[in-house]
Amino acid sequence: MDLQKIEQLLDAYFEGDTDVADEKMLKAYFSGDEVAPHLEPYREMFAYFAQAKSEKTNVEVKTIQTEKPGILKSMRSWYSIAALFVVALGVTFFLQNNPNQITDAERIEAEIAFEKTKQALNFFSHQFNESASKLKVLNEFEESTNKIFK
Amino acid sequence: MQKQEFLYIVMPLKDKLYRMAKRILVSHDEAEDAVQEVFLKLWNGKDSIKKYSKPEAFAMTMTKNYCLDRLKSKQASNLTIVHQNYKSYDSRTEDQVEAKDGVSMVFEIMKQLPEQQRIILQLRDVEEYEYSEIAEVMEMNETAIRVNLSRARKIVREELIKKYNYGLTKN
Repeated sequence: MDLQKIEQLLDAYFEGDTDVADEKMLKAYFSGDEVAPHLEPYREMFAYFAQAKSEKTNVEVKTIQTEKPGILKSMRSWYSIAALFVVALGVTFFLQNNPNQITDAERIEAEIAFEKTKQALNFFSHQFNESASKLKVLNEFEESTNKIFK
Repeated sequence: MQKQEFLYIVMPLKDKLYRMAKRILVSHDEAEDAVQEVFLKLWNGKDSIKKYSKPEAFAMTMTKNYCLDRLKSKQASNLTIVHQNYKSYDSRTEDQVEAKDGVSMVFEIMKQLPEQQRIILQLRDVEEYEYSEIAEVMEMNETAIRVNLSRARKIVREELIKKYNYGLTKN
């Protein structure tokens, strides 16, 4: 590329009148080996641009990986309601089905147990009443002592 | 918007955003933090990113504003990040900078530029954005961009020639 063209471009460049294509041409010229001696200082400037562009980062976008998508998050509040529903349904079915599940043998057994308990309780109360009636003697004794010590 | 789609849009911008952040904040760590932060903001507002015709310009604007805010709050609390964190360059870049002395000179000159000019120069000469795109990112009109760009380039040229001549006479 001829020197005159480069100098022209360079002047335009410093006035901010070049487009991206012109600037690429300048960059190409200054990255080459045939830079005119009096343009040498500019070489560093363009070398800087090239180098600044090669800077890279290894930043990881870690904040995003821990985030859950929004839809799942809003669904989460419905989980508890759904769980409650399931439990309520389960309990209802359990209560409805259970009485029918008792077999005849079991019912008879339960009735026998009920009768036996009734007998035992009757026996107990009978005994209790019997002993209580024996205490009437004591009452009489207390009455007579009250009469004496009044 | 799904995560995959989001990453597809945003991941190619990672290095550009990082370079932008680094140009403004200078420190490598600060710049990476800023990029993280901007990604988080973009992710949180991921449904509105679709509304923008150019997600890249949008992300760039966001990075620029975030970094300038960081810089402002740093200066307000009297923390001069420029000099303190200068050494925290990652070794890779540091080696490169040391190897090319002339280029590191330009890095130094860049730091002296006002932020706005520095950002415009970065967008134009490093990232090769069109004027209209820069105007969008900077929220300025194109004429102002051209003026600032020309000014920034001239400052770099003057400083460079000054240092270059100094170096020549010294040796």
